[in-house]
Amino acid sequence: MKKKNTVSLFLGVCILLCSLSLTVGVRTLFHACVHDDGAFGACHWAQQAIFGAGIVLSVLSLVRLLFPGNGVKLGLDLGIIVNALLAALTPGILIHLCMMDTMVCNALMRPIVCAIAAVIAILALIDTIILGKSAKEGKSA
Amino acid sequence: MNIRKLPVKNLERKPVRTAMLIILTALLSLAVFGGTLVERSLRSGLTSLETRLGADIIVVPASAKSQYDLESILLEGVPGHFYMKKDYLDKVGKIEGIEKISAQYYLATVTSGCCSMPLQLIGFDPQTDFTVKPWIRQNYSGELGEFEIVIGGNINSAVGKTLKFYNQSCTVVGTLARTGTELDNAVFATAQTIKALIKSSEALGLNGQTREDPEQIISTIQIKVQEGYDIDDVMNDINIHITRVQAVRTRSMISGVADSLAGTAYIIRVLIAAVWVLALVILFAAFAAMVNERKREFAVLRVIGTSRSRLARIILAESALVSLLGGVFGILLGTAVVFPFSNLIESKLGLPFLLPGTGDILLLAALTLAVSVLVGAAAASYAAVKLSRVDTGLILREGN
Repeated sequence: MKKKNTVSLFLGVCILLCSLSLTVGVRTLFHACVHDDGAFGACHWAQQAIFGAGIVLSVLSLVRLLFPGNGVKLGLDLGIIVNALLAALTPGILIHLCMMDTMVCNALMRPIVCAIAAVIAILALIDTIILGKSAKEGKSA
Repeated sequence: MNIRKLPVKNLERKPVRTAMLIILTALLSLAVFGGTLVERSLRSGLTSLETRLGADIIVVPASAKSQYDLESILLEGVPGHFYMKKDYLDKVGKIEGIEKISAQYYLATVTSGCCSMPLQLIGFDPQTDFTVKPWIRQNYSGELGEFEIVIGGNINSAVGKTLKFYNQSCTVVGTLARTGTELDNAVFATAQTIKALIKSSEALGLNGQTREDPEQIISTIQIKVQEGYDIDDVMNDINIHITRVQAVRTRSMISGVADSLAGTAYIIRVLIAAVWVLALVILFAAFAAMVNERKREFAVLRVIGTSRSRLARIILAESALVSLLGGVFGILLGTAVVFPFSNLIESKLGLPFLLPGTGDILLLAALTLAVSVLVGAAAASYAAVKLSRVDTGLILREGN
């Protein structure tokens, strides 16, 4: 049981770090296209939506780390999975990006956002399975 | 406990050691799979560029050679435009040894707003063209009408949609397969469409290149040399007899790209070899250390009747499991890095980059997996041989 809690704690820290890197990174390292004339295109709004989803993910993963109850953690994990999927679907599917595949939003922002969001969703899913098993074991005990 | 399950149990018992070995083999297979995939993609890009070369010689205005990087504009579709008088088409056509001759018209769009970037608009004469039409026909069988365009594989649009250039709406009638070159960012149309767009660009004051009537200008002349004639001789004839134009042999232009590619491919191969040597040394050391650490465990197994060959099989099974898992992780990691970031790799390398077909990629993945398992087995065999020479009695007495 203790081992499972340690794994869950480790997963929680990883999810928080990934969420923070998504939130900060989408505005800094892998941002949308920058325009000389200051105009905003569709990819800018995709970036803003991902930034919003990143903040929600960061808050959820922080709360998940701070709250002790496994039931609460399980619920928050499910919320994290849904939000991570939302972040992954935002660039290119929910909000269109620029016309050329070689532009920064298509070549850099989209793949990195999808990769981080997929990692968050997978980690949260693993945590959900671990917490679900712990809850079953607790009931049977 | 069933001795067949022993390798799995051994790996489960030491999760950190198992994880480290898996990470090591994953790095090995990542280097092999990712590196080879990038190298193959560069080669596919060059082949694709070569197949796009329909002309033996391209004639451009002499001034363009000094003003522009012709190699990029003519071979790779990097946006840029230059013009010369249409009369040159007739003058060049009179040179002996020319089988086919056709004019092309270039126009670069301007950046406007987020969802547009400079594009190369390439116009061809449907009556005489022999370079663009065979390529377009692979994806679009009809004849291009006025303001109808065929777009490169990198442009996110679809058949039936319209794209606006210089306030003129053009309908997309086809999308070309990717070539891995800048031609994927180009738009192809008939000469009439490009001339109309040149007029629009001039009306908007965005084309400072020419004051000439668009009907009287061309950008390049594409030439196919007759069989039996030497391409260099025809090229020299044009350069000697016709002033203010420059004839360039396309093969000589591609050699620059091929040289850059050879250099990049060499660096990739050196890096793969370095990772291989490093991973091999570490794997051999890791398996040797593992056998040393578990001498007593193996001695006990010998005492309870396990044969030396069975012990060797246990070690080999452990290494096979570790290598297989590591190999799969490495391939997945390589896939996750190379495929989504292929556009970024292409733009950073500045070389034609075309991912190989699915069959080739699956074959490469299978070979990488085989190599990972073989390397793991080789490292474990060394450990198994070392173990077979161990004196069981001595090991057990050492423990007391």
